[in-house]
Amino acid sequence: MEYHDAWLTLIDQRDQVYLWLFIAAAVGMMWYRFLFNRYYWATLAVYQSLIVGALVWGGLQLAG
Amino acid sequence: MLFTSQTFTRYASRFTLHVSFAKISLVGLLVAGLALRLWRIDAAFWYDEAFSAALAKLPLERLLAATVSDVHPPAYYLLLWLVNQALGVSEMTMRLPSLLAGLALILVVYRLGQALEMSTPAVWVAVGMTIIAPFQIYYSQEARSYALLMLAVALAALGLLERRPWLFVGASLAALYLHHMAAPFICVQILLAVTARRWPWPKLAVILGCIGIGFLPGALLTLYQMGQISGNYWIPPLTSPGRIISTLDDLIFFSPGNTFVLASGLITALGLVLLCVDWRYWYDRPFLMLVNVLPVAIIAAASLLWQPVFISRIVAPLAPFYYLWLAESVTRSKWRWLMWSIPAGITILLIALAGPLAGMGRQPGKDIYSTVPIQPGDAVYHANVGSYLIWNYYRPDVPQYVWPNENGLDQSLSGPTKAAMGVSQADFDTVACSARRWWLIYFNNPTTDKIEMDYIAHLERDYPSERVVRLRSDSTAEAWIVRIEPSCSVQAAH
Repeated sequence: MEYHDAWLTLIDQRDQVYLWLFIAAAVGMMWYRFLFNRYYWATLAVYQSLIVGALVWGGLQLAG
Repeated sequence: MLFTSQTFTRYASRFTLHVSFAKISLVGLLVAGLALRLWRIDAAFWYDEAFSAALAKLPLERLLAATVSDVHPPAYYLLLWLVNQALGVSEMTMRLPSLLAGLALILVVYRLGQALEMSTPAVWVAVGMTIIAPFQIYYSQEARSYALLMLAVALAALGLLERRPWLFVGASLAALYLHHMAAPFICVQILLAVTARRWPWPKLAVILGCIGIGFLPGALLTLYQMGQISGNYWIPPLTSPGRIISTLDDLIFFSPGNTFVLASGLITALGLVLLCVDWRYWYDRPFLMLVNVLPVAIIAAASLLWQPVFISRIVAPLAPFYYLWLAESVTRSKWRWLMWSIPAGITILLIALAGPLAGMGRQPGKDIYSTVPIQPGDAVYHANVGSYLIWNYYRPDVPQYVWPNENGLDQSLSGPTKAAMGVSQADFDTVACSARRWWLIYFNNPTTDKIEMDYIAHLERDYPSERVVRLRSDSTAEAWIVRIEPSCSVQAAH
């Protein structure tokens, strides 16, 4: 049964990560006008950097 | 005159060129989709697929008997039975219906986009997602009903949108007989057909009557099988709204061993927020919003109030509509292209290509069945019917038995199903002396019952045994092949 609990914990952790990513994206979008009117390129750069960083991290995991 | 014969010809030729370009593009994309789906389509079966293949090999009456006592309706297994009659049983032939359904879904998504009068870029983004989404590639290579289920539900929606009643009726019935969880999706489409008055009342009554009468035997079977599902199912409970987001993420990015989950999480979260931001837009064009939101709400409610059923393959029929909904939203402005469409495209492509190029995704996995030094006189013993079905498929030359566990073990088969399938069940103590040497195969995974592990401990303790091959060992599962060389004196003591 220890694997059952470990599995549920992993699923729960993944759910929490997705929930907080959604909340973060939603908060970001609440500031939609502020962010995108004033700092359009900066916001885009930050988001794209996050994606690139996440892709590099995934690639390193795959290679490792 | 606005349209002289010359201008008309010019317009007509432009239209012809446009249609031809779309067709050529679709054919090219279908070829690319086929290439991605053919990669490792002959990989080893896993448990569910081995179950499908075992049913396809049965005589028809035993197949029906085995299916009735299981948790799925019979249409998919009957289709595999026909495939077996025509082409035989192999990984390729058992996965062929899913492959063809996966390719057909690409065309149906294109037609759905046109029927919904979506912008051209949005239609192509949705088509592109259907072609390269790792989720689609995986289920187009799976000897299970999910690719056909997605196609059937999408075809029903096409029948609804194009006002083709017999397509709507036929596809709805096909979906309902493929999988019980087609019901929420088909119910929502029927609701939309009624509320949007897609057909005049008399015609609508005939359509609904045909679906109702056609599904009557299936409904009775569903009621009977619901008892099996509610007493014996393994899906984790829906404990967080994050599960809905991660499941939607799976509908695009799912692939075994996917390491790009953080990137996909960022992309999914932003995509969902964009859909929420656009609520006014969708309020005026509600079809896509309703066919996405209502089934998710129904399945989430069923998970909370009845039985956990919220996993990606259960909500798989949502996938084409989710792609279309997202595609329409993320192509609405230049910054959305930059923020979502391009990063998502790169990530999806990376995951899709990581299978062929970097060993992610479906693995060949057949070596183990030939590398274990099984010799004449040996036999294989299984603690669980899961490994029994797979090993029985790959090593039909070796006598094999499974522990006759009837304690409501999760992810197992019912007694009548095992009997109809001709599963060889025996307590190890009773057959120990029938072979010179035994190979015990066991999996300790999240759905393994304690009583099963106690039984394995008893075998390893009471018989001369040695763990020889570790099949798996990670944070959520452990699997071994154990060599057992019983002496009959030990057996006699039992």
